[in-house]
Amino acid sequence: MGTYIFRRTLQTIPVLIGVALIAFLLSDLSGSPVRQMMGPHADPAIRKRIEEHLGLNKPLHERFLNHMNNLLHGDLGLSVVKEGKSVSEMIAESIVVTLRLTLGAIFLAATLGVAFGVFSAWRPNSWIDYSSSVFATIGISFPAFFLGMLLMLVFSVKLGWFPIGGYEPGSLKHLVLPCLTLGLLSTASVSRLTRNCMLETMSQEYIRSARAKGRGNWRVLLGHAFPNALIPVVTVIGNDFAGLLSGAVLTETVFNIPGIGSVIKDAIFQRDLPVVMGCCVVFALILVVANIVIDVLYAFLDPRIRHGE
Amino acid sequence: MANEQAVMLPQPLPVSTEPEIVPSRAPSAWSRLWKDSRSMVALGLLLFMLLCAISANWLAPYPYDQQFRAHVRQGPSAAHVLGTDFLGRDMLSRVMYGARVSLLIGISATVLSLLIGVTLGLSSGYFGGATDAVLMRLTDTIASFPTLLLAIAITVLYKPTPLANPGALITNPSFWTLFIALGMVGWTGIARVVRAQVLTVKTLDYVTAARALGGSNTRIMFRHILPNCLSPIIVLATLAIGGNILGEAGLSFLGLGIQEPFPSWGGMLSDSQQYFELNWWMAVFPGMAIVLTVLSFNLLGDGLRDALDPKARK
Amino acid sequence: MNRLYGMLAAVTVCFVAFMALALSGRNAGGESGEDSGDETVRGSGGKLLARVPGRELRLAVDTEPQTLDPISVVDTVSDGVSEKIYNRLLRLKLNEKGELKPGDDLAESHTITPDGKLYTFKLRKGVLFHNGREMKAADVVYSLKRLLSPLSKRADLLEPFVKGAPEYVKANGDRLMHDDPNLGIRALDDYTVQIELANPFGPFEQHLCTVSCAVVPKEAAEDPVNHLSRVPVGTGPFKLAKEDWYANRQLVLRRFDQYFGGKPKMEAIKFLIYKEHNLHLKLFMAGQLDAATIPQGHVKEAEADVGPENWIKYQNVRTNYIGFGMPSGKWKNKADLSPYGTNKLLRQAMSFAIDRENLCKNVLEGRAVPAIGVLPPGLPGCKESRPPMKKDLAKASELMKQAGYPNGEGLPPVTMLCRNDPDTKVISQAIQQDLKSAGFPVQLQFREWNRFLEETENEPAPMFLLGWVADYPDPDNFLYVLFNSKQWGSEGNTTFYSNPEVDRLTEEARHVTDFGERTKLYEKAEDIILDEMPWVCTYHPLNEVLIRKEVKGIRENKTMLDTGTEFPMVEFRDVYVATTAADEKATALDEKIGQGVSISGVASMAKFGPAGPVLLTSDGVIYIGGLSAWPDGFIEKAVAVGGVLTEAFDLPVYEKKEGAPPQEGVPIPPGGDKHAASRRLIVKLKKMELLEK
Repeated sequence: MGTYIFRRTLQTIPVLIGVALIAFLLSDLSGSPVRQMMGPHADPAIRKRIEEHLGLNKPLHERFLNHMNNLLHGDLGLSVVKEGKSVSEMIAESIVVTLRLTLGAIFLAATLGVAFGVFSAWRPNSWIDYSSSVFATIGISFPAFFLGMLLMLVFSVKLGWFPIGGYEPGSLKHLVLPCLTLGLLSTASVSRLTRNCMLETMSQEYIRSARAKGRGNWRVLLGHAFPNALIPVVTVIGNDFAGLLSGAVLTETVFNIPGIGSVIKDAIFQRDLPVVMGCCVVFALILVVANIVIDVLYAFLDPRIRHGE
Repeated sequence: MANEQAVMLPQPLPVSTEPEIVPSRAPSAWSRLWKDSRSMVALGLLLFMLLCAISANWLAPYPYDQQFRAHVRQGPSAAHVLGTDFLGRDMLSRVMYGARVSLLIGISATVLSLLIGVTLGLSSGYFGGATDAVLMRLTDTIASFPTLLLAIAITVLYKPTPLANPGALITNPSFWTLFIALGMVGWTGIARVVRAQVLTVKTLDYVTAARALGGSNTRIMFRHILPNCLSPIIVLATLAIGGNILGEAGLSFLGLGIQEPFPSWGGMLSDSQQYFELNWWMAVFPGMAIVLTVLSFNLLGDGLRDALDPKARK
Repeated sequence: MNRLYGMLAAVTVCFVAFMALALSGRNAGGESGEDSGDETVRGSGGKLLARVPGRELRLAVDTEPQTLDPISVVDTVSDGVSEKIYNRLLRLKLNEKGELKPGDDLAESHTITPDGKLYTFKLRKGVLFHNGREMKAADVVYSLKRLLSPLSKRADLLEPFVKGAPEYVKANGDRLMHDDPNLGIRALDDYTVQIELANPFGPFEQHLCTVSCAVVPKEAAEDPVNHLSRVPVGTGPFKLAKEDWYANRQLVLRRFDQYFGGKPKMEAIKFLIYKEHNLHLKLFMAGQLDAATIPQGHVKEAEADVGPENWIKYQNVRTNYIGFGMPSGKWKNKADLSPYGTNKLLRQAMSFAIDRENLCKNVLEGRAVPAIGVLPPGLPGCKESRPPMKKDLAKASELMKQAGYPNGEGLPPVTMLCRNDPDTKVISQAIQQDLKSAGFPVQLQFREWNRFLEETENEPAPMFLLGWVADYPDPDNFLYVLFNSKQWGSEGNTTFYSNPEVDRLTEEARHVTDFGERTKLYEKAEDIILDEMPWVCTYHPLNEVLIRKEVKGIRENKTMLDTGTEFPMVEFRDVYVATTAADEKATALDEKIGQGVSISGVASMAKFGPAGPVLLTSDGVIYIGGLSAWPDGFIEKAVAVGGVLTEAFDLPVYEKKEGAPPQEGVPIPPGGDKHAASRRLIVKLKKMELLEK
């Protein structure tokens, strides 16, 4: 197990470097932030002065190596657009918000989705099964922002049950609708998968034999089918975690939540290179760690994987 | 985003080490598909959308950019079945023309993803060793990027020529931007699945035989291995089209999609945001159009998966 | 399969029910007029809810301020927030005619030599920075020099004008600043600053009024840990503490008690950051915001739900226009060959093809007026007698025929470049429609702001849609910046227009100091520009701001500058929110300070404070200035007085303790606001009249 983790960790180093390189190139090649910062009435001489002072005129490789050097020392730098604001501070503040959102959505997806899936598998082809499957399929076809708009319209503006977007650190109220938006779509895919996997497991040999031995339906379901179904569910949640972190961009836009999705989006538009690089690397890091954790979980749940690739 | 992820990086097929040999099964797969009513419904919906897209010029009641200033923001009525938007343009016509945009982007971006993903997956699985390691790291790198943000970054990167004439949709620079952005972001899942398939298939007897007979690598890859990977690829492709349509809607929502005056469903949603509680029809109809189209692709994908997979699902 | 269809039907029913709920009438939700008492108030379901209680002023902005360092402030939000934190030598003030003109701020007085080159400012004494130190002339010199440093984004405010500035800037190199006796910015003593210009420049005072010329203390500007852009330190009525800036959510400016202009009435200003502009209106209706602009499409709704006491309409000094790339023989792209650039008759024809009235009335919902020219009405120096531009298809086709393109035959297609924001999308399409129906084959292309700037800065785009809002209220800011050939490209002249006569006129107007003379020159220049039409001017936007009636101390203004914070520009010291009944009462007169008033009440004599006649009114005790005693027969009778209303803070105040005997003066609870309690209103008597015999 130890070597496995070690091997996986080693494999991720080139990935992180690759991510940093791509983030750098994308941001750098899309232009200078200074032009837009200066607004419509911009003296080109001043602009040149500022760009020189910020070191934006040095050759490409020099700047990249500079950034990588800083990154390796843990220094994410200062934002170019939000003068004086430290990138690590920006990331720390906003990622907390997004993580809350994401974890809330995952919690919802895991509980609701698995519950629906189990129920459907228990009574296949019943109306519960059909309705779950229909809801699930519709669920993954819904654009997240459309759902968000609808929810906000009904529950915040018309009924007034929840605040109209925005975010406050201690408040649960502000998170309910966004988590619902993000989570409902994940719930759909989790429930489908749980159902399919459980059914498949249940139709396999050893389950049938357990049944033949006289174990009740319930126990078979929970004792045998369920743990096996968790494997792919864990994978989906893992995959969706990445998608949730990034998909939060649209939800954050609709509900006006200051999460890391908005930070990156704004930084991309404003060509704020340090922020883009810093966020992408942190993102990739989180994903990589999450994947490793999931792989380890996998290995625990399924001995077949533990010793092979 | 969640659904984009769920569709573009589709659910992994349950862990199975048995090779999926699909020698020609065409008749039974088709008949299975035919019998599955939800796939038929989906197919029907899709054909209808396709019809709208292709023949919008003739079917649509009004041109998509004709402004009826006197009827700005009016609800569904006899003259305008789905209402009008903030400039007085007919919603029904715009939704129909919008089908063209969404389908075109969805399909073409998927084709691009397929080209990249299949090539990479095949090479990676077949050659193994260093090639595999490098290509898989590349795939991991791209996959570690938040997909939507990568698409945004690519879109922002693109510098359209200032005097490019918007002209037809195909030559519109924003179309190409979206095409490249979505295509380059969505291939990772395909590559991984293809690679897994190749790994199982390449140990089969007839592949070894073909090698012994001295076929070139490319020939073996494309003539022997690829046909056996087709079923998951087809399923993935179908689901990916839905995902790309959602992706286009998302990008349009952020203002990066197909630019005016071409109507795009995502763009219409974005424009209608501020009028939503007063003029619901401006958002609901494009939204429903997106949902129905993506739903159809998803149902079709499910149906295909069930039809092509020898193991019964239900 | 019946089950499946059944399920689909059930789902459809659920969906329809959901939508029905969503689209239901706008009466679900809170009732108007009732205090919800809940901090996080919910949506209102359409009615205007009561204001969520609190003494701070709540405004919304749609982006976070990029920086609060004066030398870097370029965007409107940063400008609007910084404006309340800093002071500069001069500021724009309302004069008696209601015009915004430069007036004294940190300077007590200033003089300009007749040749217009030497400005001498006498500074106020006892002005404190937020960190407690007193402001001196050295700080002013430091701040202005800092504006010329390599990091400064607005060096152009001083560099071309101040004597020795270009050399100073060049010599700076990598250093932040250095000493240079040749630089025309000097401190003559602790409270006198002198600025010497290389040439007289009429609008220089306006430049000094901008936020970029704010005075900052050296120790804060050079603090390595707390950058001035994040932790500002100024002399203004409000200050921002580091912990009061919650990234991407809100900023809270708190009252600076030692403000030299008097303690501000308001305790705090909260800026809430909501990127979605249309949320602002919803939040306003829910009582969470004190001011909001109305997004397009919602004017009728707002009119229905919000009473007129909550509205303020004002003219924005802004002109929206279609720009055309002007030929010059140098352009590699097609601007040199495009008939739209070379043939002014075509541009004039286009101008006649646009139905501005319809645009303003229907598309913009009455929140704009058709353009009269380049200078917008409300800008000092604007020739407001110019007729608004009208649609005239007959003239348009006549001009097209003269130009050689009868009915548009032979006209090449042209692409109009537009910004990628929701409002522009609407307007550009409306304009395109008008032009198309007149025969002009116009296509639209949208660009994100950064790309737009890049494409228009080195070469002119053949046709583009843009607007210009004044940085300060002077025609120079329009005509020189936008049409002088020295300003080609990113400096403002995006059409790359070049006309030697216009150049001469705008250049000359810079060196003249008499405003009347300058106006004449600008008029001539504008006449030429309106004939050649590098701009087809479309409309001048009107701003309508919803401001809750509980917010007091705002005076209507003829020219309001866009402060980016949806709040008109006023002396913020006087703005406050009325939260108690007493506050409400005191308001009516507060608004009138400095103006002529007519008040009636019962004549009496003062019981404490400066002895003399007073008037007992329903608004409290009003002292009468300029009168030593009431004439016979006035005391205890109803009297009406007229005169100019002023205020003074000199009543005796004492802290009332439990059980202690009352003393002379105004009692306040322990720890109460002595300054506010010492205030009295005075009418400088002009006439008086006995109302009852």
